[in-house]
Amino acid sequence: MPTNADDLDEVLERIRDSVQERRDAGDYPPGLEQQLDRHYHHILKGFDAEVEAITALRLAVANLRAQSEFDLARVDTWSKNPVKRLLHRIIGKLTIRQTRGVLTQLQLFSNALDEVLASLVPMVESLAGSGTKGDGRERGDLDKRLHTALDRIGLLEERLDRSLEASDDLSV
Amino acid sequence: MTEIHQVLVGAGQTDAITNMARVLREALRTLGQTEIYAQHPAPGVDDVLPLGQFPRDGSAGRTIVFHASGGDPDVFELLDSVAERIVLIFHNIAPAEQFDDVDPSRAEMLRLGWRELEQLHPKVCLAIADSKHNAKCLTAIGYEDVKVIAAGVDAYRLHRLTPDPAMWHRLGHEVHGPLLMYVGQSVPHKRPEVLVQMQYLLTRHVGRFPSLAMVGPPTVPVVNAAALEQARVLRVPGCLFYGQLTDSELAAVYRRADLFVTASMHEGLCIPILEAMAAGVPVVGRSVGALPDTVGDAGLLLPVDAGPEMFAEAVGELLDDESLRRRMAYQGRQRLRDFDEAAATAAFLDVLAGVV
Repeated sequence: MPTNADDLDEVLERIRDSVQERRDAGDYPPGLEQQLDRHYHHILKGFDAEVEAITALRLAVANLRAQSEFDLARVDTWSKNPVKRLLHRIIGKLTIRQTRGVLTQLQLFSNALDEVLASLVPMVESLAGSGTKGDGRERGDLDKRLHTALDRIGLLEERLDRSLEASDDLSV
Repeated sequence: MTEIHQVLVGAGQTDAITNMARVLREALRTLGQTEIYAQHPAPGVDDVLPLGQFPRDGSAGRTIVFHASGGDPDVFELLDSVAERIVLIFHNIAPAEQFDDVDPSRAEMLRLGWRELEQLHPKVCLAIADSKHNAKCLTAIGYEDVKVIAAGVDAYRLHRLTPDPAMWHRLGHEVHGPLLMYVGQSVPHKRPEVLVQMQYLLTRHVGRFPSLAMVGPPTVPVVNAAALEQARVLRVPGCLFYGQLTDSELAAVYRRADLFVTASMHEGLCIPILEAMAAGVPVVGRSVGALPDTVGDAGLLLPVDAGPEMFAEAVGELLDDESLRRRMAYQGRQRLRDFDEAAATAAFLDVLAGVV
């Protein structure tokens, strides 16, 4: 026997009643759907912010690395004025030992910084929860569970307030 | 010689629109030369040509069948610049505002899709929509005389396949109790998280323990990841995130399923629901978009604002009432007569003959 629209309307009505009964009985606490939705959006937002932050960090590190090649040839000695241009070249030749010394120190510092960043970036990614293993993931989990627990405590406080109000009414 | 080529924005091995184009290609071969071109064919899709290979030196006698489901500047540039007549098959465009927060570039492409449809209008010699709802949307932006033909829909495609034995075996191990299933892309407006929350309520508040199989590609990965994460953090039992499956694997899930559940807020047609009806699986969804026309009495359509509590209750109600489920399954098969592949293809070729 096929279904018809009346059958389905009846079923829908029963479903509405059941939802209301569960709400009245406290099986579905007030605000449960909103709480679950907030929880989901909190997770979603977290994922999004983490991905954006990590992407920005990766880009910044890549940019830093691109600027880390020090070379005498990159020191500009050009000038519109031919006399000044000649002067810059002469000074450049005269101070080449000092300039090379400074560049070598900068390169060593840059190499050391690169090593530090190479170790730090994966750690930051892990702490942000973008990795799939390690303590960072667990910290992210704890953060989300804590958020859920706080949400539930808030809900219980609301129910407690309502119960107290109801008992006040009764005593009056 | 007649040349009728189909143009898609994206193409996938198991993508619904690509499958519709494949069905139409078989029909168009009877008329002459035909190919499917896509701007973004997925890796491994070797029966669809990259749009870059589309021969731009074609004659005005050639026809392009364009499957519209989103915006793409390169596809639009091609359609706008060629001399061919354009037949539009409209599959609807997902609501851009739902993507603003999670995938702004995709949101922009969706808005672009509507603008491109308006700009293409003068070049379109025939407009077809695959549902009444989609026809209304197309009419709203100025298209007239839109034909409603679910061209290329083969609802029994999976039903004819032998279910993948390994998947069947896996389901035997992983599924406990009744199986609820969902098939669809992980995109914001499909609201996969509502199903996770429904499963949470069923198992933690209602005392029922079905399994929930979530199937489909992670189109917007963060949506899938967040739904999975919520299931994990809330320790929801029985959530099975299978991701993209092959056709024979999906056939196994349909074969095992008791109910098809979707919380989607926007559907232009919804092929997975037709496939569920073909498999005799009753549907629970929201009364949005094309779903009232597609599902009819073959499922239970909840109000648009239904939340996980109502979904949980609806699932409980149907799981308890085997007789109602059987009647819905029967009604589903009856409704599929309206989606007869041969009749739709004949209707498509008939209207096409009027313009080619």
